[in-house]
Amino acid sequence: MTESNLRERAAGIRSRVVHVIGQAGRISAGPAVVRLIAAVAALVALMLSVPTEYGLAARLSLLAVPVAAGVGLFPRTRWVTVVAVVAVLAWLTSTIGFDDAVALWRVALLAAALYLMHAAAAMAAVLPHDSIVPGRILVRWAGRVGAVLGVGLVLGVGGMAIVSQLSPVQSLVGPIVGSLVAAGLTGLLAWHLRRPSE
Amino acid sequence: VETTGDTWTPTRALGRAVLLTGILVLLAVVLGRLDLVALAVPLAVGAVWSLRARPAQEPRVEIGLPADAVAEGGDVGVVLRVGNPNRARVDLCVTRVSHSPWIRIQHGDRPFVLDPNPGQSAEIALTATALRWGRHQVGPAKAFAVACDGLLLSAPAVTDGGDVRVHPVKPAFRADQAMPRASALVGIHRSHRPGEGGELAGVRRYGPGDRLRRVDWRVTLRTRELFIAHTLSDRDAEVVVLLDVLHEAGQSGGIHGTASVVDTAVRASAAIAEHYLRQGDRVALLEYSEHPRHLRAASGRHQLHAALEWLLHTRAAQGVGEQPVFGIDPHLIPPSALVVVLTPMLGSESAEMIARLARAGRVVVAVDTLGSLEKRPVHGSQWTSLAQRLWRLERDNTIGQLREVGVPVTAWAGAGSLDQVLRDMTRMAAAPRIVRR
Repeated sequence: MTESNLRERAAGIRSRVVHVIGQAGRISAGPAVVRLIAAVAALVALMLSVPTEYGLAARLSLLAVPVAAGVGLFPRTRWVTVVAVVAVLAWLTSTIGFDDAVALWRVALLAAALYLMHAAAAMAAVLPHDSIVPGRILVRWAGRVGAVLGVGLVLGVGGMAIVSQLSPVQSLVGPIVGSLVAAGLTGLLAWHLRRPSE
Repeated sequence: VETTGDTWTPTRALGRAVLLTGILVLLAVVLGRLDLVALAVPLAVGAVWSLRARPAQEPRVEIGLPADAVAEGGDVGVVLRVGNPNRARVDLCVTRVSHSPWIRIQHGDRPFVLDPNPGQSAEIALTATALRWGRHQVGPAKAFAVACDGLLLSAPAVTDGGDVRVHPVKPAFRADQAMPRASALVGIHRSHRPGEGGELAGVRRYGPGDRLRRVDWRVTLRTRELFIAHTLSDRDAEVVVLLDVLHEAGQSGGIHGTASVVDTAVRASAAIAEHYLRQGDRVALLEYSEHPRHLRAASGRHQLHAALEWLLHTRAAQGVGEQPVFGIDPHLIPPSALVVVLTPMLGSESAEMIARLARAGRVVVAVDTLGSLEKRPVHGSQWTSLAQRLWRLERDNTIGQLREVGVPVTAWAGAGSLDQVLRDMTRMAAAPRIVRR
């Protein structure tokens, strides 16, 4: 690579950095708040899902911060999905591999954090970072997210609490019913998408 | 965010919700873990709840612009309107408007977010200022809507927008001297045009711009309020304002910045036209450019409006302007008319054109519109200052040659710019002259 090529590349990187800094300086309050919510929710989800023993949470927090910041910075990318999948896999690892207790509060918090990260990233993805957003639009969005979260937690965690009170019985009915529920949920979402609008 | 040719398309967030729900429920079934179902429920409930009412049509966007012209430096009422033609609610509409740099819109470089109700429109009044005369584009505006909590995205709606007409600011100008070849009252019929004259048309209240010598003291003393004698014009002078825009020089900074040569020419033309039209004279406008234009002589308020609109189309040639195919024909200008040429004297073609008019017997006054730009220091090599000095000498020489053919050259200085030269010309016109028979 010749010297002129290197210089051109360096100038390109420099202009790119200047552009990114300039764009970062233009961010407005509304989108910044939504992105912050997404990043904080991602961090909470990651911290809740890692094993609590051996001080792993403290060590992994250094890694979790930039990973969660990526959700706030790049809400339009697949990074949000990757972080959610990582959180779920980490949750399974801590509960199966490290025998962490499946406490109701931890499940509720993790479910809330995962949904909040998803919803905030969805909103941040469609809001230009420098847009001027009236506060009432964000308040209404927050109200809807809160309502969904409330209903979802009551159904999910409440249902889990009730079912866990029942005595465990080994049968084929559980997996069959579960599979039907999974298929039903997927079908419901697909139907929603295929049905005519309005 | 993916967009296809459809009106509404799912976003990546919808795919994420379906994928995470599927994975979590599947793992819950395989591993027999209820907690994974609990994690999936908010995602599934959120997606199903959000998708219960989906809009079908894209949003509509409009730009509301003032129908009347605005003054340079004045406020422009720009309204950005976004409509939701659906029965379903949308979360928000993001809209962005492009505009000319000469229309300053507060936060105009940012997208605006609105939330129109179903079947209704939401609008935002933008604070805009016209920074420079001319016709300035506001638009196109683009808008897209987001529905179902960010799970669906509409195709963009676009509107073209329109032009805002900005009239040039008219610097204070008055010329108290008489016209060199005004032929006074023509015919036996008095004029019906208001203006400076001896025919009394009535009295009216004193207003801004009225001369003190026109105050009717008898009526004023009786009514205890300033009244002026309102007269009909008895002038028969024609003023031809000729704009030399073959060359542009300087950088226009708008109303609050530096003026380019064309800025000075247009604003001065507006001021001169307004002054003489208010006095009841006839005013014509001519443009010396690659494609010369002409506004026929007329008088009155209508002509002032026509002149201002005509001036909005003034354009300077980019770089070194080409000499027009058809020059300014002296026959376009009546012999008794006063020709005020607003010229930066940047090219030999301009000087030749002015000299040709003077040789054809027209009364020509050249107004130098270059102003302080002439003395602006130019940075460059060691030869730059020398070249600039040579150019100045050449320009001074051209101005001297014009004076030799009887064309006074004066710098544009607003009010009273023409008084000295008009006084000299009137004196010269009144003096006996040798005529070849």
